Amino acid sequence: MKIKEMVPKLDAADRSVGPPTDPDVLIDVRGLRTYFHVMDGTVKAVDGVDFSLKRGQTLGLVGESGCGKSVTALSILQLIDIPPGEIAGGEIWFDGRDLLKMTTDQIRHVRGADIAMIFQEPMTSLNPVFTIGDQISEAIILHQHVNKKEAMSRAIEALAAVGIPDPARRVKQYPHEMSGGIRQRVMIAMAISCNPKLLIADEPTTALDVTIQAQILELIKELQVRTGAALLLITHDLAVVAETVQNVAVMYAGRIVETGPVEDVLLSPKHPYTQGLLNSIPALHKRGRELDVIRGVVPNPFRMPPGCKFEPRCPYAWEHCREAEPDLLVPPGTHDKSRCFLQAPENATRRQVFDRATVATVRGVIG
Amino acid sequence: MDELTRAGRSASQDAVIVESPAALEELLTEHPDYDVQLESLNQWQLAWRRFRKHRMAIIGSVLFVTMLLLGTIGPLILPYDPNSVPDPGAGNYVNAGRPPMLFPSFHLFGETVGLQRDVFTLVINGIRLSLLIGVLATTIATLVGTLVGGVAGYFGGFLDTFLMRVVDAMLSLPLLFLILVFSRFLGAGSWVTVMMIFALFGWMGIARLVRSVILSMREADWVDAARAVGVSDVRIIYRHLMPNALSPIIVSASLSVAGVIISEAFVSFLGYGIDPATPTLGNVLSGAQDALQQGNWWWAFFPGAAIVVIVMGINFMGDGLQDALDPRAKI
Repeated sequence: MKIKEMVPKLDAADRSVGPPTDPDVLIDVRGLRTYFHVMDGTVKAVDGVDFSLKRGQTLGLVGESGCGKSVTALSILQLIDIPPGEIAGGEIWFDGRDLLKMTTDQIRHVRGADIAMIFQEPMTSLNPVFTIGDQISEAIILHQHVNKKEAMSRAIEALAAVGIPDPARRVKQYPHEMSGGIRQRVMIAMAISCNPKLLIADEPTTALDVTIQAQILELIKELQVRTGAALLLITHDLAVVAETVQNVAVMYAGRIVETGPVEDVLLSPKHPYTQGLLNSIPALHKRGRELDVIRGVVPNPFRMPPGCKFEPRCPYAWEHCREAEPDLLVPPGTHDKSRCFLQAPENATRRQVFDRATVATVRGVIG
Repeated sequence: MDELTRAGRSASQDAVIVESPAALEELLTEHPDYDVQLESLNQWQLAWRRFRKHRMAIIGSVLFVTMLLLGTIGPLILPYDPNSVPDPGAGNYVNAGRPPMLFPSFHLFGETVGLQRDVFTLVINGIRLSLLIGVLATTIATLVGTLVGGVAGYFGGFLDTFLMRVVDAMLSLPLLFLILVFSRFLGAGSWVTVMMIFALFGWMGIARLVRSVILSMREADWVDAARAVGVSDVRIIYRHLMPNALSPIIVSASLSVAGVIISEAFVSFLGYGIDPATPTLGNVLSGAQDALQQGNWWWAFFPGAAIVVIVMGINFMGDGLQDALDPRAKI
């Protein structure tokens, strides 16, 4: 079966070319498309993602495994392996420059210095043969051009800033001598050591146990406020999003399906996928009942549905959803944007069913 | 115990390092006011600890170092010259300007019949040259192999395919015949030529090894983490990946020295290697063939024994290194 290529339509506001006019916008991602050319064809891991983030603000990128949230983050820093990867389109405006038009050397000076990243796996993200002091000071020497001694003392400061006791002794230690929580603190220290303007945290707490998760999130929030860096937090955990960020973007099958202020998105979701996610959160008062899940599975990346990507799993879908893909629509009376035909004015009747279910869902989550 | 214990008044300056719990106990009874602190060992300190406890490795190292010392210091103090072709008329020991009677007719390993050369001198000089060829050829081969393997493994893609096909092609050439042909046409048996030939055809194994190690580590999270802070590709290869690949490289290189020494002896024994007048172990053995029939066993035995001792020493040492450098091994 030959599937017709669908070019995602961009919102009118995002179609403009050139840097964002608002100087407060730190990073503006427009129509980002990252594809992977593999043996069986092309996987469109990220297919038309738009979002922007103002200086000092926080944005959460949520979605299930494989929806393209990590690839979006890696595309910003261009850490995608090319080949098989390819950044097929879009613009990433950061501080007045398009990151996608930079040379390898230019982007290298952005990495670590202007945009720093915290990875998911603290156990494997540190080089086993170097002391952590060596690893933190490498970034400092690279971007701040100081000598080794000065870099080491700044590394000690960074470790102290992330709450590691006895940092002067810790810098001489190797990664294998530390627990996961301490290693993640080291990764955070490394990330903030050069005072970046944007901090990308890719599931920073997924590999940690619950008590440590809370500490690390608290630390990231605190440092974000103290350093004034913008934060892009990638997670699949809605609870983390609710606690940590101001704005949220929900991703599904390589595109953003809903975005807006965190309280709007979580308390009055405007997309059936977001509603499904909230529905599937287990709660004490749902004891004994079968857990609500989103039926079906994520579409096969080689055989994406021709219309709305969520249509095969959507309880509200009708014929129109199979034929065309919705834009990000702005429902009246909210700051939300939702990629769903239900939000179009002509579908108000259908929307009533959805809205009633939303009320039930939100009541279920709050309890 | 992965850590040294450091004890001292200030715990950083003028600290006393103790390695066993018993020694710490003793120190603390003497100086009850001392602070105790654990200090991390790096990769090499840990490896040295394991190596020290590996008995065969220590025996091998002693054998190898002894041969190394014999080969380096021996030729400087021996009275006889191994290279001079004896004057048939003189019928006496050959010497290179040294007083012939400094070591009066004393021959440790006997005297070669006919040519009247001192077997001990020959063996010592043979060890010197054989080791020199083995070590130099291996060094060059390791450098080339590491470079090729590192580039192929890290960058992948076309470069990887191309370099690995070159390796495959070179590995399919019969090394022995190549050496025979090359030594015939190049440099006519100078040891430098032979050494270069071994280096030229000896790097492929290391290249494959390094490529596989780099390939498996390239996807590691810490490589991405290093790239994410802006470290360049070149620096990631030599500063981040190579130290992690160093253990297999060291092991492989040490074993390769033994391989080159054996191959060189073999080729020289056949008479195709280094000029027969130059004393390598293979040449000395080759020269001993006729003497054996006349019952002069020592002429063949001692150079043969030298090869065995060197190769055995290196192999034991390589085994020990392999165990010591394996971070998973707990000895």
